[in-house]
Amino acid sequence: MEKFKEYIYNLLPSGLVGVVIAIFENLFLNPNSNLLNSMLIYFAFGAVIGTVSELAVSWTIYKTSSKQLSYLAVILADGVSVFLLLMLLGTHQVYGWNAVLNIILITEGLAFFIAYFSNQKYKDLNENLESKKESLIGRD
Amino acid sequence: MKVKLICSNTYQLLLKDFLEARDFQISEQADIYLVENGKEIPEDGISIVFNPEKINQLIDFLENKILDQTKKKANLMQEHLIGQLDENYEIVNYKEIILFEAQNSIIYASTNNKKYRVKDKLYQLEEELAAEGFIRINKSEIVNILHIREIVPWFNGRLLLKLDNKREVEVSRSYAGNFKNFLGL
Repeated sequence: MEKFKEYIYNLLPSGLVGVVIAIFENLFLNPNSNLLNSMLIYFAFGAVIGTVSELAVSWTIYKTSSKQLSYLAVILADGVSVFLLLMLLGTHQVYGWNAVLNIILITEGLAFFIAYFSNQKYKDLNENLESKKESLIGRD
Repeated sequence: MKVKLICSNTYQLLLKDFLEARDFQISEQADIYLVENGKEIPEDGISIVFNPEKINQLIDFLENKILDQTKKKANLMQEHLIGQLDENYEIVNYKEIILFEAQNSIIYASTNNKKYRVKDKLYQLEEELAAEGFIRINKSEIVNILHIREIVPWFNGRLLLKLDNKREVEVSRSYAGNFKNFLGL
């Protein structure tokens, strides 16, 4: 139950980013779009990208400590999960394969950014850990 | 520390009061002898011969040299805690402790290969050992920064710590901010 709650806590902010994008689209780009529909679909995309990315980066760093592998894992995991979501929603039937390809490319761009910031956080944490250790040892 | 005074009564009273007020013990079986100039110097132990006319110099010497060493020794002792291992008690240096953890209201201190039971409460250890590099990471654990091998950003704002003894512990979300501040982030 505790784990499930944690997934929800992580999924909500990512999904809400999707909702904001749907509102933005409705207000400025396509006022005729079905806002509720867009909000639900974009929420699902945001939640999937956010959750899968965080899981993939954390798990790869934990297992391998490799920066390169974490990029690869996020790009693969996000690509596959968003592709499956698009198939589930039947995007290819309504908008064609070009739309699917474009959405996946945007997803990969987002995945790359998430991997970059996660790796930066990992680097900062461990660099600060080492300098804190040195300051404590030097004090003795 | 035991001290024997070999001097006239006038100085005996003065030195006795001075030394006893500073936790020295006046005894016949002593480690150090304070000998008034002209009196017989014992063959064993360490003797400090003083000129009665310059008693103030002796007092200053005792205050600055011997008592300073005693304080240093006391400070050194404060770097340890007493841990219970089965039926025995052992002195454990803080630097050896990797983790303090609470299990069923009992506090344990884990080193590389031993796990001691300690009497202190977790919140007391958290306050007293912050300067030694110990930091609270969740409701039931305090970790020694010196024994963290790697920090992994973990799911949902938490952090995973890989420790020197191969254990892995989590910094909970509510303690993660404080932990990062401690590291200077």
